[in-house]
Amino acid sequence: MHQVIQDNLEEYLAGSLRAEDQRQVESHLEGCADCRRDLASMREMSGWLQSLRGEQAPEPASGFYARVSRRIAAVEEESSRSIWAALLEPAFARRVAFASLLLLASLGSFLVSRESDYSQGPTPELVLAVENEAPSSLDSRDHMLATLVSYHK
Amino acid sequence: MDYENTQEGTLVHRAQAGEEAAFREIVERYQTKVFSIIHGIVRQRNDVEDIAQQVFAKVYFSLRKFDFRSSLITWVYKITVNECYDYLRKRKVRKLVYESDLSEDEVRRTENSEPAIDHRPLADSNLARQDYVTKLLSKVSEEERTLLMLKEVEGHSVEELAGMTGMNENTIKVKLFRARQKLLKAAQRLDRAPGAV
Repeated sequence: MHQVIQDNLEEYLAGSLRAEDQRQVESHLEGCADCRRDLASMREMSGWLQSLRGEQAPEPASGFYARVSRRIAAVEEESSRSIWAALLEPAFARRVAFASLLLLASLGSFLVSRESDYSQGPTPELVLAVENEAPSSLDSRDHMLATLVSYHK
Repeated sequence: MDYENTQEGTLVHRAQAGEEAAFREIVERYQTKVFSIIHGIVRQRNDVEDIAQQVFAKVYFSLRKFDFRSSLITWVYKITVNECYDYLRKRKVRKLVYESDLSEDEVRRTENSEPAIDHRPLADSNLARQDYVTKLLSKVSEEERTLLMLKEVEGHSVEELAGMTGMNENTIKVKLFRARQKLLKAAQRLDRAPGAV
């Protein structure tokens, strides 16, 4: 379908083309058999679609809103029940129990490995190094006395 | 004026905030329209109310997601059309399951007891045409179906559709053109293989 027809198709089908566009479309259609054929198909399809226009649709009976509300409440209840049902389902409970056991086992092994690291205690070299770095208790006592004297003065 | 700040936009905001009176107003404002759309597609008077209830329940649960890009009626229209096609799909599945439980003789008897479209009196030819169009519409996307129905069934102009959907007029025209082409192709396939849809 050529652009000039495609651009004006919706208005053409709705019968709302402006006079100027109408002339342009008709002039093109006179010389284009393909567009004439395609447009005829589109027009036929448009007529078929319009057959769906509501005819004597039933009116909502009184109390419709109340029934909608009840349905909403039922859906809400159903969804909360399904959450509980999923939680209480035996298969789900088994999975939770298995996961908890796995977690406990991992935690236990982690704690045991930490304990074994500390049970050996620091090496003699480490102890000596710490002692050398730290001021002796004698030195610290002198330092404290000097501070007190200067404060007193 | 921005749709969100219109009177209807304010109504939607109130409903989104959980105000029951606002939701009730939405239901009462659009219930007749929803009934009409449903009846136009499924044409089962007994099922119209049930589908309409389902539509408004969906509107209730999805309202918080409504982002004001289209008008409320366009959004409700789309939900309604989708719900109708869900219903038709389920009905088709139910029919297939029912038929699979029957013997070949029983299936043949059931088929013969249904009025065949081609042999219906002339007064029913419109029903056959509606069935056919409904089937064709199931072959395009949800968006294309909604646009085609808003244009052809509801009679909105391209300009109105642009206002309702938040798309520009050229986009609407291109989408409608593609949708119409798909419908024609689906119709050609259907003619080649009758009963395939």
